[in-house]
Amino acid sequence: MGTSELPYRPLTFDPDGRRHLFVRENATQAFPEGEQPAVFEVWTIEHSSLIKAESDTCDVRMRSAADLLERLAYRLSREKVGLRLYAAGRPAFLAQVAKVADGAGLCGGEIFLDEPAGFERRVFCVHCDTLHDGVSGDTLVCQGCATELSVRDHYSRALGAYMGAGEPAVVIEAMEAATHG
Amino acid sequence: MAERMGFPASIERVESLTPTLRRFVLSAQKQTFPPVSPGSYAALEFEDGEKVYKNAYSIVERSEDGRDLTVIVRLAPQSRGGSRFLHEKGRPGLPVWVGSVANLFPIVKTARRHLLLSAGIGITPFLSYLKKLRSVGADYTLHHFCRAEERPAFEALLADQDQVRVFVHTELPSEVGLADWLQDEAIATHVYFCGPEGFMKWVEETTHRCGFAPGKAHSEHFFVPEGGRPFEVILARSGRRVAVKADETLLEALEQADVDAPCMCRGGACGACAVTVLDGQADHRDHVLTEAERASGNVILTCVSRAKTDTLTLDL
Repeated sequence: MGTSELPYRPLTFDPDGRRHLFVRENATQAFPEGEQPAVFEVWTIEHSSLIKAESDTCDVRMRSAADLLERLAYRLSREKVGLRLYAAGRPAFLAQVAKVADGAGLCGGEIFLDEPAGFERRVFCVHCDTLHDGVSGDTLVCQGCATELSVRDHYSRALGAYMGAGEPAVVIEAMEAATHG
Repeated sequence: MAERMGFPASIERVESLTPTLRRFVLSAQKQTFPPVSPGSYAALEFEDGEKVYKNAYSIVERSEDGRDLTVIVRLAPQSRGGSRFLHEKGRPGLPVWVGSVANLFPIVKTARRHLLLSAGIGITPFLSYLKKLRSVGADYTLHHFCRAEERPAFEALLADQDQVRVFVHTELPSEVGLADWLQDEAIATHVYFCGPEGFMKWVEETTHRCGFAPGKAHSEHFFVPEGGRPFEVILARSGRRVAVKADETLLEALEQADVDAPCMCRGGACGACAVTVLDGQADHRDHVLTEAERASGNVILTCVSRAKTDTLTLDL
């Protein structure tokens, strides 16, 4: 069955890159394979409030995913041609990195996403636009409109999420319940 | 007989830009020309009574009412005759058949910045780019390279443009510091280049060295198919043999022999004329086939490529 998933593959350093930035959700995620460039930066999320920003090193620790994504967006907006961006982590993290990179104008040969850690997905309710993180099954109850959603294979790169849609009967029931209260 | 695809037209105006560059305005005789996106080319067909010439040229402009198309033609030194004929005999009233219009070199609409690099006649696709990019308020720069004696002509061609965004150079790209400029471009920049082979090779190598990803570097090799050693093709389906002379292309020889061979751009850029090779070795001169396809040895683009062997057997 066709899907529109992000292009995941095991990470390898691209020898055509001039500078390399590896962002990872967790310190256990290994560096890309292949010949290691003389200089490359690693940004790792520590999930800790004790982290202070040190921007002059090649091994940067970040407080949280939100912190990393914000700094990545700022960095990419000032970046010159030649950078290669590598990302490793769970599907939701990779989706957000891809979104930031797309927004900064990077293209396929400039961003590389590792095989995701875990199967949890980000799901978008097509009925009320509520986003759900960490969905591991194929169905869920929407936290916004309480529709019973089934997760479709349709992935939106712009939203960084899979589409969750209610089965028609369920939608009708939900609408009736809402109308007749 | 199947209806002939295309648009009957004739030359409306001719203007000499330099001793080797001429601008031709073609006027549609029946219906209007189709809408043309920047970077498109037109495959033109014209004849001198003895020989039919078929050449593809970048469309510089399509008039708003769709009645006129403008192309600029360079007198090619190794020409097989088409550009020479247009330069010498291309006068108002000459019938021209506009066979197909297509775009193999479009503007990337999602790009944040467009860096256009051209040399010599390679400026022609960018003349249509500039108009579009300016009208939508895009961020762009053009660096054009030419010989000193042609500078006034190119400056005149670019006179209406936003002068802070277009630059004409008479030094080599390596001498003006283009490599440094490329290296300094933002990561969101797309680079487009068009010009003679030596220029193309330099820009290809330099953009690669600067780390431009393949998806960010776009090129159009215009190129005049050159002749070469004569050879013979064997058409496997009919057993016919067709001789390809030194000064004609394989495609032209097939057309001369009334063989229904596919084609579109006639410059080794689109891949429409690919034909299966059953025997013999091809001399590949196109910009379409991958290394793997070349190595497989079983496909040839008839519009530009020739044979290394005395005969070539094709699945035609």
